[in-house]
Amino acid sequence: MKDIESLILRLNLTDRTVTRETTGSYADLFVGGRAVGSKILYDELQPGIDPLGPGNVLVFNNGPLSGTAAPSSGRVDVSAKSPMNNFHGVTNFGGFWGAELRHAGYSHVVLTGASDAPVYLFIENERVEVRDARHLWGLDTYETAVRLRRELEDQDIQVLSIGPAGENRVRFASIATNLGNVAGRTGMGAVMGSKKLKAVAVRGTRGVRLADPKRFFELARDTHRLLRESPAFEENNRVKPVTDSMFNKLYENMLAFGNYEDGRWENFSRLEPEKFFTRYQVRRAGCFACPMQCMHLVDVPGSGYGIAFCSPFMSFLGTVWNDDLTAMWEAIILANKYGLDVIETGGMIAFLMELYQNGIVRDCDTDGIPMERGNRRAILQMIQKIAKREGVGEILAEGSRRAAEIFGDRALDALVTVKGHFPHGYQFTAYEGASLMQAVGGADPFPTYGTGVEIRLSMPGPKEKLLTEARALFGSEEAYLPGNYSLAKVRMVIDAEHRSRIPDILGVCIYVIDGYNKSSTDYHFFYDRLVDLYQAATGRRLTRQELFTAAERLVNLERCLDAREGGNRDGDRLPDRFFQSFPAGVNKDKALDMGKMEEMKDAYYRERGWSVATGLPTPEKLRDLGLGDFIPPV
Amino acid sequence: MSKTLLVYPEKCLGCRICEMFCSLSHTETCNPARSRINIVKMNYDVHCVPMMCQQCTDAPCEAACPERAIHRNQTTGAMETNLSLCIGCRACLFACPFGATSFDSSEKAVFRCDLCEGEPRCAEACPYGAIVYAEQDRQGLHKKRNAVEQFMAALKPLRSAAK
Repeated sequence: MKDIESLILRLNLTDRTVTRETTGSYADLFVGGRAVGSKILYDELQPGIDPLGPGNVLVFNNGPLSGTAAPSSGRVDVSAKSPMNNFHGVTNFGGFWGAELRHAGYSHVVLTGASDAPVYLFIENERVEVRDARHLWGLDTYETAVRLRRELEDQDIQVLSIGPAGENRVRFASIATNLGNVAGRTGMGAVMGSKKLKAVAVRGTRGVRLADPKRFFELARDTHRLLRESPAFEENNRVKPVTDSMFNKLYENMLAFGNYEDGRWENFSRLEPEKFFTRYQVRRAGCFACPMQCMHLVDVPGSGYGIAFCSPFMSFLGTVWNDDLTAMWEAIILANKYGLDVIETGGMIAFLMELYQNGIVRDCDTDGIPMERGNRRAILQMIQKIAKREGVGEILAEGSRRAAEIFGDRALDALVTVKGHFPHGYQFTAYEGASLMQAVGGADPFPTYGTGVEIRLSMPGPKEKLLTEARALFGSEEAYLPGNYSLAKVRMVIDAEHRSRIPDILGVCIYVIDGYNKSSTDYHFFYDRLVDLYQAATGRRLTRQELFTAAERLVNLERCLDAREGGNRDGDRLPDRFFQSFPAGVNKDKALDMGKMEEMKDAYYRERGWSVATGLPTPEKLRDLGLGDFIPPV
Repeated sequence: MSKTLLVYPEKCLGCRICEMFCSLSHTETCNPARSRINIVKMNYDVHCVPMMCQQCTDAPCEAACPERAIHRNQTTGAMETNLSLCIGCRACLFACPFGATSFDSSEKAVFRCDLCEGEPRCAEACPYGAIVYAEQDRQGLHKKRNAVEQFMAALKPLRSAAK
């Protein structure tokens, strides 16, 4: 038997002990990736600990397909207890770091304890070293990567680091790679900073061994071919991915502006992103082993180079009422270099702009910076103040809820958060499925992964394929159509939650699967492919049904993690603003109905086998999923 | 017939799919360190260049080999090492101007691109046409066409004027 097992690397940063174990004992129940990470958190996190204290556990999760020839095998999950809301935090990033880690022989890195002085971790195959990082403390994420590659004399080293925001424990600090692939959401950079861990530099030349390499080769080759022949690939190649979907196709039906203040903004309609990309795009970009390459590598003189996808674009355009694409780029690069989550930072600035507009905060509250909508200097200065915890930045760095409590009751009324996070800028008012997913989801549920069908069906274009699929899978067209709170839609949401966990479990990218599925007539086809790839890679048996059950198990496990921290139905609440209609836009007549949304949540908990009263998994459900042995009844 | 691998760095997006399929087919592992082709990234990873054996006409590796173990495969045109003659001295590594010959520490043997017996996996796997298996004498023409594509925008007004 060849040694194909990948390793879990554990490092206690307090006493610097290093241990290794194989992933084998986790695989039967949890398969891999994020599910193994969440199990580790469940076992090793003491409930009630300070997320920014040494008791937190920070886990980097590769999946069983990471670093292989399987398409898009370069995505990594990062999880820990989140300093934003004390619940379980998780965020996913791409690029080349995860594959390098897998090539060094590791699927997971588990970091416990905290160092007294700044350190960085260097992993090179068997060699694992905790090294002095005092000379790196204070550097931005770009400089850190450049310095480490030079110091370690290897340009192929992949570096993941925190910037000043993470060092200063800004609660929504991010972790970034050298080109700006960012683990942004839920404050994982603050957790890394609290451990005084500046960076993780990785170099791997051991590679990934596979149970059945010949079959894996054939399967991987066929899967790449399928993707390259799919309309999604052609669309991705023909148009500039972000430009087309975000600025043209989806804008009116999808995007919310400012602090969820409007569904349309004239200045956004007049943007000329094509000109911006023609002028400044160096090339398209993407992650390891991915045929889609859905990102942009942009270089704007004076601001800098880096890659970006749609979220940062919206966060520093429509969210902050900015209609200058070069200002947007400057803000993105600044936030990535300082190591701040762009979505939370954009949301924070939007929140301040609304408060300023309504006279709730004034110049004297913002260190003299006029927080006018779209003000370039205000945006850029506020990013730096937050990252450095300077002046008003000290308040903002604690997150929007804590800031609102200081600014007063009227500020609390304007707060738009779900479980402490600023949601993505979608028109939740018009989409019940997306809203349910946002309400009940943990960490950052990113609802359009699952419910993009609602948006597509609200736009012109062919509908028959989607409606047939909705009938076949969920018994009714209502599952996909917006404008209802049906049981079919609840079932669609539950299925979408499972589908969005599967790539995180296996170590591949959700966009690639989603893109393929959009044009495929067989809903389950790609999941069968992934199951085949998993079996050829690991030699373990897995059916598609078991893969979906593993996803359901993960949803339940993460819900139990949150339950230990006081999470329950009460926290599954949407902001008041989702129940009010926007002044303008194609969805301006729409708003969620509070009563119907509550009934929809009842149905969701019931369908999940959770208690309708508490919104938590029942002991029977946990037993059915094989979780009964170690999770006490909640 | 004299097909070989032609590289167009301006089309390379650095995804490294080629490294995966190369190492998988040659070593049954997914390992860039054992791949015959490597994407070299420059300028903070902004620019990417696929690098592999150029199958030189007057090959320094062949000249450097003290055991005369390196010969051209007359069918594919690839420079191949007869491992039963190879003593593992790595003289071919020193001689190669491109670093295209590497040493596999697990197999204790040198390796370089063998053109996959005329069906190179890297060219097949590249989604963007950055690696193409084609007649050697076509590279100049291909490159001319690529160059023309870049300034086609400037030609468009003339074309419509001629209508």
